[in-house]
Amino acid sequence: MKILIVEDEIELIESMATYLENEDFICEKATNFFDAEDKLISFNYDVVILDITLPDGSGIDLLKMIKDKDAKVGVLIVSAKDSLDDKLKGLDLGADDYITKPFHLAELNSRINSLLRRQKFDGSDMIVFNEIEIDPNSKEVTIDKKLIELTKKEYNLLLYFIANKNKVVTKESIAEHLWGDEIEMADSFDFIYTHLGNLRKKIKKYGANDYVKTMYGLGYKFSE
Amino acid sequence: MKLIERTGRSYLILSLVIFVLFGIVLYFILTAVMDNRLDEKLRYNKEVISKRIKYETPLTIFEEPEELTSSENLLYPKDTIVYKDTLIFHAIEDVEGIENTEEYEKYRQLTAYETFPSGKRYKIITRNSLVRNQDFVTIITLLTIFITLLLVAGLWFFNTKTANKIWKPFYNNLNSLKNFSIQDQKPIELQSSNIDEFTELNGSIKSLTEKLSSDYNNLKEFTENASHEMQTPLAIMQSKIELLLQSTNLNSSEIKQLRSIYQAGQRLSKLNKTLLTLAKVENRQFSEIEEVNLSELITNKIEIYEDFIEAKKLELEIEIEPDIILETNSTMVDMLVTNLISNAIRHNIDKGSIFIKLSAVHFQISNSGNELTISPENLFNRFKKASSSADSSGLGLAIVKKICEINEWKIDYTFLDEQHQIIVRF
Repeated sequence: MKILIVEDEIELIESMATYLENEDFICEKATNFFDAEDKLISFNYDVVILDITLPDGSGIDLLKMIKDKDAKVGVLIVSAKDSLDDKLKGLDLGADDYITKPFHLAELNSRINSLLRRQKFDGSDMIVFNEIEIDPNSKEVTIDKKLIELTKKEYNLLLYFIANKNKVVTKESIAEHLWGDEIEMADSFDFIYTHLGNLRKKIKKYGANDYVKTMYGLGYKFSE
Repeated sequence: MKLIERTGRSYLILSLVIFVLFGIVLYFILTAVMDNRLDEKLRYNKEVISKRIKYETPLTIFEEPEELTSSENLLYPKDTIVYKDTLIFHAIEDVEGIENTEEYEKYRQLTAYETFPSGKRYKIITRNSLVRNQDFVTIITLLTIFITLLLVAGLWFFNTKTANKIWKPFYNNLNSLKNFSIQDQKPIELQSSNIDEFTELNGSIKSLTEKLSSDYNNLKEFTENASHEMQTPLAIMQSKIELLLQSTNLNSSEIKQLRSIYQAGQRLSKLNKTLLTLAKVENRQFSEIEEVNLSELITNKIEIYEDFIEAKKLELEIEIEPDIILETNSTMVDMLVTNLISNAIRHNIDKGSIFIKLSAVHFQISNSGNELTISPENLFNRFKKASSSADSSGLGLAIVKKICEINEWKIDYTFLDEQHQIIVRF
């Protein structure tokens, strides 16, 4: 999967690229409008991560260009402006998602994954992690072909972990993913613990391994 | 004291003084002029008499002339004329004899000691009543007083009238200045006047308020821009730490420190986001009005917070009338409801209670909790928080209040029977 990251802050690009390359994405970087335009004309990408405010132009114009060329390309807008206007404008013009700075890299990765999933028209694309299989359309989870019942939060949590497998995922990023960023309660970490506990129990009950590891003081890691 | 009254009073006092002085001077001049004329007349009469004596014409209505006594001769050895005012007693018998009038009347009297060619010396006295003159002076004095009063009253009347007309724009402008609010974003409207001073004043007020407004806007924009500018460095910081966390060879002390940095960064991000939200609400960037189903919105929010309510074992009581629709901005209402519900949970006690009620005219949220450690008036101010907990920015209620202000809703806080209660009236 090829991703183009358009962002004028070189350090932020580096972070995003490092994280995503670890997930076997191929990342290309553009730090200005001109560069981005050049790359977009010459190459094809599956996903474009687009900053709206660029030193020499507006990301909105790039967005139009991308969608004119190939409507299937997924566009994730990254913006410092958390304004509804920008958001609506971006989404109206065909952007697939919108994320506000500062964001968690795990969240970015999860968004890109779900964006890529939505690109597949047939929807037959299953998310598979060893014996765990997830059908993102019906939101059904099976372990060794046995259907297990998950609550909405447990399902989201599992999906988030699998998207960020082998990565340390902080409690803060999980809390934001599950409850949205308006939640500013320290208590939320206890609920993660509760939901996670339930999820682990259910997975174990159906005979799968416990893939969730607690990284002391940091968060969790979903790995073999 | 009003300026009009102050100046009016000065004019009044000045004109009174002038008129009193004028009256006095007029009185003396008039008296002198009339005395002069009377004296002339008396002299004329005396001349007639002395001529008659000289040519020995009989003085029909007069007594026979008497020569001067020796003492008078001594007193006035030369020919002398003496004028004086004198009172003479009158007893006038009424024609019908019913009433007698007795009075002293004032007379002007001329006494002449004169030597005639025959060598005899005589004293000639002629008199004229001053009564008519006195009447004349009285009338003139009264007229003067009357004119003075009329003039003063007229002056006062016109002065007040024109002053009111002249000052009207001033008072109107004073009123609009009093009602001027920097947050309204409306330029001040001033009534123009053809008085130079007022025009100048208006000009100064206009430029002052414009300056104020632009400074205020700059300040507001500054908050917003500063918050925006902070987003990117914060994003870099956060992403770098998250990458660092992925490395496998960290020891526990390093992890601990990284964790602290990460958490501080998170707090900073949250604070920054909230500040930005507040700035945006204040800058009225949420201006799109639509129909918002408040009943649905609140029900959904409660669902999101379910975990938090359960964890604290809070007893939740809800009375929500279905399909309450408000014409407002959905983002702002969302923020309002989120802030109030999360506050009610966060500042609650274990096994406490929450009561949420929504009707067409108000939204009420009550929760059990400890009494505030700050005064209720400060509750809605920025960075005033009752707890020092790190997860509370102290901006939530400031945002809530601002949203209420913009929507012209009334918000009230009360603490009764261990219950915090906030009511928003639409």
